[in-house]
Amino acid sequence: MTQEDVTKQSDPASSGMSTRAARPVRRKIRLIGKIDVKGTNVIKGIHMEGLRVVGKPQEMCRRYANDGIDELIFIDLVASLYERSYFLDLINEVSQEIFVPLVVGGGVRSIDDFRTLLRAGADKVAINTQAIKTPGFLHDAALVFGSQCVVLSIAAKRQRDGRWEAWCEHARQPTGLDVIEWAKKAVDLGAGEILVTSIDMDGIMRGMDIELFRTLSESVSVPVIAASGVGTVNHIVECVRQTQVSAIALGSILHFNHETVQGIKSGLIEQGVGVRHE
Amino acid sequence: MSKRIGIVDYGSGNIYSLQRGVRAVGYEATIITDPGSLTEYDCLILPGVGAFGDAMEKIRKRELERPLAEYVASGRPLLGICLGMQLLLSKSHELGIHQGLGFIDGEVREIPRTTGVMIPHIGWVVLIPRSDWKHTALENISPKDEFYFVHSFTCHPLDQKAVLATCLYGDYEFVSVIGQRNVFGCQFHPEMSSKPGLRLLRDFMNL
Repeated sequence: MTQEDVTKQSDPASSGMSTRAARPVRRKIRLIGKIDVKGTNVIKGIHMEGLRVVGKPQEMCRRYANDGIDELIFIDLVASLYERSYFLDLINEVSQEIFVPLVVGGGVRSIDDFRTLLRAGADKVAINTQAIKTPGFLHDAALVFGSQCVVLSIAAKRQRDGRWEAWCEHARQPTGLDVIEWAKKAVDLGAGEILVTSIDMDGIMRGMDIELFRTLSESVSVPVIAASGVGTVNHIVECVRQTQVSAIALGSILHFNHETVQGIKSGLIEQGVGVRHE
Repeated sequence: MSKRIGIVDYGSGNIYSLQRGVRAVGYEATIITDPGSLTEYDCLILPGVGAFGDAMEKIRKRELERPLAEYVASGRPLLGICLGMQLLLSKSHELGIHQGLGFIDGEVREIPRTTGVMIPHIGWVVLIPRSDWKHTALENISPKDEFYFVHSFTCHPLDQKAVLATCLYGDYEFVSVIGQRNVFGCQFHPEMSSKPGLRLLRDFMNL
């Protein structure tokens, strides 16, 4: 940090900016609303457990979209055959009226599942468990739909040795895979973007796992979407300044009305972080 | 009689969002798979994601190349989106050298890989006007409007007059909208670019 301050002082572009916070971040950050769906409800837990109902997906995503969200993620947490039709109806309904990228995932097992979600209105599809079971699925999907359509989703849990392990089956199943190594391999196979949730930080709104996102975003060349832990604008600023992530996913902070998308964007602009203006 | 809008489906990527986008601005687009029917449309959109060579192969396999050329020769408007825009040029350097549709002279090249630049480039960017937008689909676009991009390659048309707009990705300036006579292309996805994107789609179909 000290070294960075020295660099900053010798940089003529930043002269006159006395605080660290005033230094602008050159890249523009995408803010993504993450909506986890169970049946007809949006649910949210802590550490991805103890899920409780927080609202209706249609109402929540409309609110976020009207307020300037840059992208939306919908994850079907049940993905059972019976409730899948609700989910597909939801995506279909949302995609008729909201025209920002929609990332959709949960229970995607095959190229057919992939296609079904795209037909329902998804723009990108997130894959987690099936990619771990058969990594070649990422390659096949990228070949058919293009890498930009394939989002690898990873649920990361911090280990005692300071590394992170990937968990699957909605964070119920450890896999033994190292998150960083897995992400690198997945990019080679064809993942065009990586969404990482941190099981440790999920739902507690006390800040993000900066180290995880720094290590990961410096290890892969594709954009990283960082999720879990945002409770304040400062949590986002901290992550954006200290990592190379391209996007921040927001859950609880929006679901529980702690902040609005507009409010977060204004706060970010004040602190020199670029965002999209609607 | 209302305009007949067609989305050319050659099996490359997601056309459903685009169809919904067209519907949202008051038109109904038909998804076209039959090469023989191309000339029945007043306005065509060529979408596309994935790799250039693969897409051209699919276009040829479905015998769409000649009907597309005939359609363009008839003077009716064609809009290429993302990879669909790149396909309008003469050739691409993506995974080898591939011949494109050649409606606009030029090449497609990869975004230079410099430090701190993520590839693919994914994000929202404003357009920098490079020629007069009057009487084009950009007529109602403001320099503040941002559009959603996801791409690793960019278009380099030979004739600078074909460049309607450029964009910045870090320090790298690339061509984001091209237009020559009745052929247009945008590197971004209007169907995912919120209100400005829909406005552009509407104005293109109103041309």
